[in-house]
Amino acid sequence: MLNLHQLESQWLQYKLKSLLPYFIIFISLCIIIIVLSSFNFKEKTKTVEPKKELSSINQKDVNTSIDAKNNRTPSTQTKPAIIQDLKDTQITTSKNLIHTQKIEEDKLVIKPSLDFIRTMQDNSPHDYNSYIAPEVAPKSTKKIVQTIQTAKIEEIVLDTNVEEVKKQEIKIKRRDTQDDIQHVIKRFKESNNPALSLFIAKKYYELKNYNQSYNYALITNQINKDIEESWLLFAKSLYKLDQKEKAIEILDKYISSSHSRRAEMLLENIKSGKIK
Amino acid sequence: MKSSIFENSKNVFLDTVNARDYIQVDRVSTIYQSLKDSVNKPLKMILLYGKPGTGKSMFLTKLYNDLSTTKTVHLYQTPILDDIEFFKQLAQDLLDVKYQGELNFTQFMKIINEHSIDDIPIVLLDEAQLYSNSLMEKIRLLSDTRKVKFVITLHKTEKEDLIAKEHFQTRIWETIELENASAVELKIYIQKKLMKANCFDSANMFHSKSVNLIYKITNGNYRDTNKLLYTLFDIYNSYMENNPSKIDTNKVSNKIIEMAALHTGLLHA
Repeated sequence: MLNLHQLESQWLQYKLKSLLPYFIIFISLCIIIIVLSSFNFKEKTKTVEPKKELSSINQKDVNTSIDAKNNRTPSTQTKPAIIQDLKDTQITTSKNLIHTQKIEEDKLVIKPSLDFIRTMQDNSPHDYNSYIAPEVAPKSTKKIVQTIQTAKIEEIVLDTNVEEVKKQEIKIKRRDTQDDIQHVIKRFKESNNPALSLFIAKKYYELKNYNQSYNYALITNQINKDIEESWLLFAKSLYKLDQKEKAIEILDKYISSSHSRRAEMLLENIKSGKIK
Repeated sequence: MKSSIFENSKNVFLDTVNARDYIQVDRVSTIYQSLKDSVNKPLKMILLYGKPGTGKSMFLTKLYNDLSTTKTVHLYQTPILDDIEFFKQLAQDLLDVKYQGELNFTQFMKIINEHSIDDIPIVLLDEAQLYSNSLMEKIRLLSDTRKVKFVITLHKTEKEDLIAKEHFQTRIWETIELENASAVELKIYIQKKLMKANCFDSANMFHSKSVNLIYKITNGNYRDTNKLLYTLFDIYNSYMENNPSKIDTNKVSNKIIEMAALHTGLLHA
């Protein structure tokens, strides 16, 4: 007579043994999937982080600009000022913008006061451009639109305050830009990214701080000699610092090695004194 | 009642060499027919070889049964390892002479050459790999006299292949190789074997899936299959007696196949 109980336990042992490799394969696959997915998640969060940073800056800047105006001007004057601020640097058209119909139209195109972002997108093809996510704009726009709507701007027609608003606008803008540059300098010191130093150089050049734009263009060039913009900005800064000959010399050298069309055009402009 | 069915089924797979248990499977039948045809040809020697458990002994027994009615056939299932005893037995079978004293190869050759034989006798030697090299050489010389025809079976190993080359290369006119069954053949073999013993219920329990598992375990070897199925029905029998609710009598359970394989040592826990 067979010992069925012993045979069954023997069979159970065999079955577990035979299923063990499949179990091990399954577990290893699970571990691999988990590791891969966590790795991917980390990668994603890494790429998302800079966006958040920029968006927070934008939001902060917009808010601070609005707050500043709220503190300085009476409530009836603040509203056109906010609108003016949000219309980037188009201060010359501020008279017309106070008109209620125009305000309605402007609501749709309101952007954060960081006009340099647009300049960055237009002029330089560097990495940080990709950080400026387009979806950030609608967020701030929405918020501002709400503020404007609650204030009932349509009813306000104040020609007398235009001059004052204009002055304030310039102040606010400049302060924002300074803050932005400081923030970007801080980021550049952390990352040593040539795109950031180039951006700083551009901003200083726009702000007519040619010493600083010269310095940052040079820094950018030292980090990466292939960035054409750094050569051009360096030459332009030199020109502005009354060193036309040096600027021409630099551009000549650069053109001989790169045959850049833009550099040639800049050289012609410098020689003819057409540069702004 | 079921228990007795399993008991009968179990006995079907007892490892015995009996011509009545021979199962006709297509490929095996063809091989057997070619063996039968070869025997009728004027050949000195026929070599039947294959791995253990492929049915060589069964073939030889079946051949003996089929030919014994029409021809003079002698089957030596157990090898006679002593030369003198072998020739004495041969003389007794072929010449119908019983020698009391010693009979060596020279004396036997002299006797057989003097003897006129009308119907050439066929000697079937099973497990020929057990014969010594010198005796195999003598058998080869004996076959050269054309007074006797030999059908020998060998296990297919490297050593036996060497023997075949050295001793029989020029004399062997026919070599037949027996192989393990395929999965389909194994199913036919199992079912035919059970049905031959009127175990129809048990035969119906074997579906392709369970036969495939048996094939996987035994690799189609007939002896291993018999051993496995004997234990399998023994397990079924035990379940029927002790715990019948645990088994399904409509199909063979893979669990019980594996249990039988573990018990017979075909699988290891």
